[in-house]
Amino acid sequence: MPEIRFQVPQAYRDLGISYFLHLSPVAEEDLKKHHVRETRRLHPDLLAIDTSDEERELAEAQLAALNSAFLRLRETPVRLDMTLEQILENNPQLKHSEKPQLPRELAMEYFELQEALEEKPGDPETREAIGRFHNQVRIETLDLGRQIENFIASTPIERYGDKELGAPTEAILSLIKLRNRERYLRSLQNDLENKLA
Amino acid sequence: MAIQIELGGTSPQKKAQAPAPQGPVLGIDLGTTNSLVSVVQDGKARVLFPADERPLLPSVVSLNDDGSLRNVGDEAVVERSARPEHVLFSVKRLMGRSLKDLHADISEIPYTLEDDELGAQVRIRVGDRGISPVEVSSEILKALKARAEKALGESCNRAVVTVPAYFDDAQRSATKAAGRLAGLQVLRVINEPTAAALAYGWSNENPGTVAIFDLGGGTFDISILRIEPNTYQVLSTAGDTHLGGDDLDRALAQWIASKIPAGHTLHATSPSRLQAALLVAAEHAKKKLSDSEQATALVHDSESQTSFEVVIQRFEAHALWQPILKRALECCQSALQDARITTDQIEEVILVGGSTRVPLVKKLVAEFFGRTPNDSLNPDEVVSLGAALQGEILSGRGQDRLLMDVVPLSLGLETMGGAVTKLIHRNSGLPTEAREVFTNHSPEQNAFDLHIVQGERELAKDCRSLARFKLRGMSPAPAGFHRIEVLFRIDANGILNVRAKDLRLGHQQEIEVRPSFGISDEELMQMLETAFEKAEDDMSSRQLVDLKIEASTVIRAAENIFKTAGHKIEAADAAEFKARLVDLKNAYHSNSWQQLREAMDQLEACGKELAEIQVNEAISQALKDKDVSKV
Repeated sequence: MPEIRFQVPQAYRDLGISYFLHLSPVAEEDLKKHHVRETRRLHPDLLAIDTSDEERELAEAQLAALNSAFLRLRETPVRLDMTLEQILENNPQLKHSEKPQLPRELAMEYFELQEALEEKPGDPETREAIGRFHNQVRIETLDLGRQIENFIASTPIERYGDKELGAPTEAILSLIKLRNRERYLRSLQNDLENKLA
Repeated sequence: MAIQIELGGTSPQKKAQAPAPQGPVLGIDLGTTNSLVSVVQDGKARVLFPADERPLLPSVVSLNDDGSLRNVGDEAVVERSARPEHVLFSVKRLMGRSLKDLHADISEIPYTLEDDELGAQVRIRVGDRGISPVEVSSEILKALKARAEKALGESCNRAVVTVPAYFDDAQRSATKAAGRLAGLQVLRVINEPTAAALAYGWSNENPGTVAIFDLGGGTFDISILRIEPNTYQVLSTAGDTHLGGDDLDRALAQWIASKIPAGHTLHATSPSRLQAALLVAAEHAKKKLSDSEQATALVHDSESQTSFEVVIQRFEAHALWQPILKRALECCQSALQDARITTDQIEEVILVGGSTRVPLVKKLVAEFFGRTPNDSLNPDEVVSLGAALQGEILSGRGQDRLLMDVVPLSLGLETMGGAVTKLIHRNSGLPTEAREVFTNHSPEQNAFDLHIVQGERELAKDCRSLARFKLRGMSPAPAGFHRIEVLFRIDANGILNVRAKDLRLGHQQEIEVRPSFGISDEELMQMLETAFEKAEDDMSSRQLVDLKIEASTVIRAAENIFKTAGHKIEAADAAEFKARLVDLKNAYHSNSWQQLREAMDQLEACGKELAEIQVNEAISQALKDKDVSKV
């Protein structure tokens, strides 16, 4: 099976993580362990009494960066996007593989609702219809999220040394497609929420 | 964890060295109702108290009519119903608070409150004197320090003091200031539930996830911790600074009051004395109800020698308390969510705080977490013991143990329209940081105003204002040229540092960061130290500094406006404007508030025409390319 090679994302390397963090929830456990280990190494309360001011300052800066990154990196979608971004950067040929589109049946309904809203803003029936549509989009988005999770769990990732990784092309292409679509639906969801507000 | 503001240019701040390993470090639980002091000896923490007294020191201070100190602790409690206006209790609720913050909370406090000159902190009015809650707390701390010194036979001047996890910056700063006023170097302010967890984990090395449910006299905290060998990691914390045993007492007092028949002689008693008597009766009944199914509440007014008795059943009291305690469970829910775990992943629920003795609290906690809570720790003592253990860690005798604490409240930046952008999310580990990049919107812009707020709400007005900063010193450059990176860092002590640097110019240009509002710990101390002898001077000098900051902005704006529009007004008017500007500059250096204020007002009055011209021009410029019919 053809394979795509990419680098360990910079954000991980910044934190001193040279190995690859899985995208799956297993990674959260790995990340937590790394977090505690690094905190013990850098925390001012555990630094030797004779540590110089410069070294203290440096340790504090490193730990502060780690703590602020930890909260973000423990979110699977954040790690996924970071990895996908890295893949696209290392493999520019993938960039235009697919543009996200609204599924046809959703698109039809969306434009109809948009028209109805412009004609009669504040009409209770239209609002109700938007509410229903919003719910439909929400369910679809959640479903996509689940699909992505399953996909991540079943995608084998190979390590090549400390910095390089590889994954099956087909799997990566599907992942990019699903994620783009999920993001698209999410923005649609926000748009509908704004209309309802 | 007090968040105080330190100013920094681009140069690193000097860090305080870890203290040399010598002398005792006291662990102090400064509670709403009771306070305690502990110390670690031979690796074991113990509470220090006089042989003939209780370990608990009631957090009650009584004053003489002239406002001087009379008694602290049990002796002060005795005076409570006879001299309600002079006996100060539950002062912790007032720490770092203004009248506006307290709103409904003070209706049942029998002593008199007023705002200080800055409107930043309440004061208690006793006779001619206004006494700050910080001073009252420092009297309690002094009494604790004296207890410790007597028990140990040596002088103690270092301490770790605990605060509710959910205390915000102002409340933490006030607590630290009280310590310093009492002659104690506060090595760290730590969270009460974290201290409790430390005490629990020190002797109990079983790894696992625990919840600390801490319901004290006035505050409630819930913290979720992960305990591993030598590492105590706070995963999340939540709470309510206005929820505690006091609220249970008040609900009960209200109920008792409703039972006093109309026309009863007690109604002739002054409202503040009656309220004090009701609270005493309620507190006794509450304690009785912890062990028995019913209790008699006795309301007694010593002055008129009248009293009233009513029997309350436990279930009746529980019906009154249930809605109050439900708020605590909502906090638990939010803490679990933030820690990303569910109740079945919690291996132990530990009860802390005197109010967890109430059977209804135990029952609700057991239902919520689906397990019997652990009430084997002494709920009154465990927090102060934990503080002493943290003192041990900070003095280098902690044997490699580490406490990983978190930011309890999010830190945000006010943006356009009063909205808040989160900079640092709550429950982020300490130390932590955030960076924001700002750019200039016009060539004339040479400063930015930053308003930092603390809290979870979306609008700045609903959060607590932490500090206002001005970034200044940008050189004139086309719009969008400057890229000022501002670093917000909270260190392990919870101290916020703000530093700025111009990414475009690197270190060549230093961007000045200065607070234009918000009182730092140092300032607070200074204010307190000078409060007695020269209250007036102190105030006016602070006001002068504020006014000078404002004046410097006005001078710059006036110079700019004169440059661009000065030739468009009558020559006489222009000369007048220029003269006033010179006056203002002179007044700026005169250091007289009055003179400066007058000069500013005069310049403003004669600059009206100029300002109008400039505004009109800006509008016509903006409309130039637009179709007028659409305006």
